Amino acid sequence: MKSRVLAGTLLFVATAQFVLFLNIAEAEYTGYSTHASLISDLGVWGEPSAIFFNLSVIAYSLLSLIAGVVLREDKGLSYIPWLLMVAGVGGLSIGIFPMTVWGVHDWGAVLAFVFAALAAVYCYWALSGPFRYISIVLGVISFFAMILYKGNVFLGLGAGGMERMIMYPILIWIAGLGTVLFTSKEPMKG
Amino acid sequence: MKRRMLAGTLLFVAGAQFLLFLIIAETQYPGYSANENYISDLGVWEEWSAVFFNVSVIAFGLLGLIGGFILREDKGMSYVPWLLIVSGAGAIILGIFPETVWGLHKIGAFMAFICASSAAVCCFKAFSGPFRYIATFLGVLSFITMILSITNIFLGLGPGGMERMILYPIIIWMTSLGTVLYSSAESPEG
Repeated sequence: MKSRVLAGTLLFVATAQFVLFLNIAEAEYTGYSTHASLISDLGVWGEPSAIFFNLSVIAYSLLSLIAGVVLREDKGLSYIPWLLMVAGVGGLSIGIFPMTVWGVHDWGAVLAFVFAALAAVYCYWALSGPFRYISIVLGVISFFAMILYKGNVFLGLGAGGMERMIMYPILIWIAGLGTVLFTSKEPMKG
Repeated sequence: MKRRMLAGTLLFVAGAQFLLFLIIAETQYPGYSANENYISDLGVWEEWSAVFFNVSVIAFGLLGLIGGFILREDKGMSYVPWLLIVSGAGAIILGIFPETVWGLHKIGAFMAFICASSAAVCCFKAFSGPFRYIATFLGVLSFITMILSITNIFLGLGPGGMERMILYPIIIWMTSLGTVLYSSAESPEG
């Protein structure tokens, strides 16, 4: 199997399973609020949501990390595989250490979000066609939401809502990147 | 701009904006539970969520419908464009008439979900590569959860959680169809 087809499939599966299991985790957490609760609340052991959330985050990160490794020598993708790998390592820290292990979890989240958003923005220079514009828009939304979130400016969405404005653009981007990869010819630039 | 590129971009934007505004709508509905509340609760004109949800569903339907219309003469796409058109019309009805207008809302939801899932399954015939398997899987998943939801079997996810297991596979499929279309040549077959 060609490396882009393999990596693209892994990235797509990573996102699709995470979106579905995130929904299951939210449904399993009693009294969960998209507005007031943080995404990471779902991973705290004690709630039935934790098993779905943590395993799914670990799977998501592991698949992204492997996809990055598979693509690491693809010159047409520039730094994107390396950014995916670092984001994947960050995601693994989130899944392994719930938010009760504050430092490690928080640094994992910074790595996962910042590097994935960077990779999305970088697609503008690495790729061609409509996806380069879509990528930069999604990456910038994620960055912008990250800054607002860090500044405790939630624009009426609550902490949980604003956190999702960081994460969902990244998820949409990764699923899109996966599809672009498995439909593209091996050298993508052009 | 080539037809597939234009239609693909519209479908991607349709799915991406709907996913983001669905979350925004959830944050604007006090006490909203992903387990107990239906997705359509967000569209009832008593909460602020209705503005985000209804406008976004109408945009989703309209973009899907226009995407299908642009692709209607694309022989390589089998019945997918026509199913997108009917599904889009269903989503527009769903957005215009909230669940308080029971009959019309239900008809709209039925058209939107059934035709979008059928279109996803039809992709097995219309496309090659990993996307045909991914699309079929997502379409079948949506069909199965539709049957479970109609027969009130929620597997612990509640009516809202199970309803999302119908909707999310469709949104994931639609955004990926968009990317596949603008990454593919004018005829995807083979």
